[in-house]
Amino acid sequence: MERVAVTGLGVVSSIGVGIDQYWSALLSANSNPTNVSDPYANMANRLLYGIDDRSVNGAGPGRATGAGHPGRASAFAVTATTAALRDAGLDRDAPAGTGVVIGTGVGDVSLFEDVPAGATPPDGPDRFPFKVSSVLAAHFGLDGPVTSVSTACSASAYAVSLAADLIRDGAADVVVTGGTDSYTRVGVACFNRMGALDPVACRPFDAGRLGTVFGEGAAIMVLESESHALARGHDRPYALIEGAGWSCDGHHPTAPEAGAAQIVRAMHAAMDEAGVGPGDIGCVVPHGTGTPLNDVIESRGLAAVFGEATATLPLYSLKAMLGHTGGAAGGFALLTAALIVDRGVVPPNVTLAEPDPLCPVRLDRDGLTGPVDHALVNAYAFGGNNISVVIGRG
Amino acid sequence: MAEVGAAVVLTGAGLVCPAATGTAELLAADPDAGPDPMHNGAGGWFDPVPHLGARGWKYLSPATRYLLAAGVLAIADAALDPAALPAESMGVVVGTNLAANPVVERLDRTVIAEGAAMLSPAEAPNFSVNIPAGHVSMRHGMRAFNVSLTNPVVAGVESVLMLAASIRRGRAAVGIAGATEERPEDGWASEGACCFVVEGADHADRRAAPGRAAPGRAAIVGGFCRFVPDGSGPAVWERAVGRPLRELLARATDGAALPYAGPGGCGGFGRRVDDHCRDVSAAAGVDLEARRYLGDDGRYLTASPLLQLAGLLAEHGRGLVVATAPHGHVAALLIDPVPTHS
Repeated sequence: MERVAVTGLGVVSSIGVGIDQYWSALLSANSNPTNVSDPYANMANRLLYGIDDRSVNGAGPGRATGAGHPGRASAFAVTATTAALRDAGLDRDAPAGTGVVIGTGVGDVSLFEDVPAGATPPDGPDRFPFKVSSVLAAHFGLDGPVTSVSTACSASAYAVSLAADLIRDGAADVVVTGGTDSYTRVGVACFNRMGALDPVACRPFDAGRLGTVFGEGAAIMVLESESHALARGHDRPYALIEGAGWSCDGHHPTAPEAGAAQIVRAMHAAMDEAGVGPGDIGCVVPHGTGTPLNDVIESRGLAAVFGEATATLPLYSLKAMLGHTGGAAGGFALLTAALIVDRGVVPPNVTLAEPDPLCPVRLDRDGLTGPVDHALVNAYAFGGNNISVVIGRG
Repeated sequence: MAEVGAAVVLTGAGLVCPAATGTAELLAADPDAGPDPMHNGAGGWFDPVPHLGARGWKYLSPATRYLLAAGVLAIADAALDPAALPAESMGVVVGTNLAANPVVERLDRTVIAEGAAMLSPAEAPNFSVNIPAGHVSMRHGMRAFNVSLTNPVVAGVESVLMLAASIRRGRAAVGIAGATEERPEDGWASEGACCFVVEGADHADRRAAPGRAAPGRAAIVGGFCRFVPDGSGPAVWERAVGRPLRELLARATDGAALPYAGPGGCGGFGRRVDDHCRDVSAAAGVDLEARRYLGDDGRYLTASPLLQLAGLLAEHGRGLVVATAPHGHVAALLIDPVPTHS
């Protein structure tokens, strides 16, 4: 079966635009949310790991294409995709039939939420909120399979899995994939009402955590069949997408299933498809949102899969740096895992005030250096939409 | 998503929209009858009780209610008993564009005028567009996976293709694929849902799915989803539409004229795709016979092409559906009679 290589990366995040800035920020292990400057955000908790649009080329109302005007999520994705294609050496001539599979939880919701502030109501193609993939395909002139995935907070991990499937099935040689989401006033308001936000920061696995804190941004990867990459002389991919496992709790609209049965099944399925076992995994990038129940249940699932080794298995708690980027979260986790296996470095985790004894996982404060042959990424979502992905060294 | 072979079948269909409930009413409905009767605004035409029972749906969004109802009808049509099957063998894929947006606009007004504290905590999760699909999994215990696709207009067709591909890949044996929409407040689109039971052919045989001859049951021969960027020349049209369509038509098992539900409601781009499909088919020696069903004008967005599929399935048991979105999306799906083994 054709192997799926990660040959280009691009990122727009609250801690940096571009891979070098992003990685450098991860190594600093220092990040804090600020209050969003939205005069209509009539709510108690307004914290956000936000992006200054001035740092993003094309953010805000950008160049319209046949697919309409990009909202902030599309603008983030255009910027990150530009960088990813350049990184892959495909910016001048993306191959015919290049695909696009993007995960997003709320799409270009900014076009709608800006209306009360005087923006023109979306019309024509802009009336479709989930058109990020359309905008990317139109902007870059890509004519392959183009899909938009919206499984809430696991959307972009599913997108990457589906993109890898397209390559394995021979439907495309190159696919632009990942995720993007921007601040949503309604989303933050709903999490306020559900009591699911932390008033301090996103603090996964900390005993004092009280919920999550949203972030925003885009994480884009160029996936490519290994044979296509080799044929054009690209023999040093960041990583390989080795396997994915899907499952659904089918339990509750928002709460995870306490027994962790389905997230355990997803992790095992991902490793089975990758042809590896728990002992081969050198690092886990967990879903880890900071929501009290979710972190405990994910820890329970990790213990069921890795047994006693859970205590020594390095975790990298990414959301402590970025906040919860919604539908982009899985994409950020996979992009970060690609950097981890490529560079043989697990960045230092943000220091916890007090590790939660109900989450007995290993979060190194100083980071780790050494080969990581395979990393496991978990992404979970409303509706119990679970996915695990194994990413390996290229 | 990926092309699929004939080992996956459609074994049931269900639909609810303002002008029709179920495939019999779909076939009887006049696609030219004009705008839908909406009665008391969004959802006013729809009574959840016959489909969902007296309780349990109060806090569900309209799009969730429609989807659940269409799913119940599809499951009944397929004589599927989800409770008798392993939960991990059943998947769900749903296409939608506006399942959440009208909810988001309503919630936003409350946030701005009264504050987040005035939101209903029971309704707050409905801001997430994957909640309708999640409720299908919860109701029927379908735990293989649950995916929501949101490409403009074509996401419904994609949902069927993706579930079929996932069944072929072994991620599920059977499941629900469908689409659902809520009417936006300014009424530029209508609302409703359409679902199918999609099933591995061997699985359908084992559980003795209704052995009806077509119409009513059909094999998914295959399909494709591509993008034609604005201003593309002939080479792109050939690569994105011409070649995959020719390859698809070559896999049709019946040489007779092919019932065809082409793209509607997408303006010039849809007409151009329609013309291209007719030209490619004629050159391939395939005679397309146009068929139109309720929603062929695209008013139900992602559900519109699935209503065309439901119509072809019920009336002919074979046919080609082509859907487009004005952004540049093209999706096609071909169904044929289920092969017999004797």
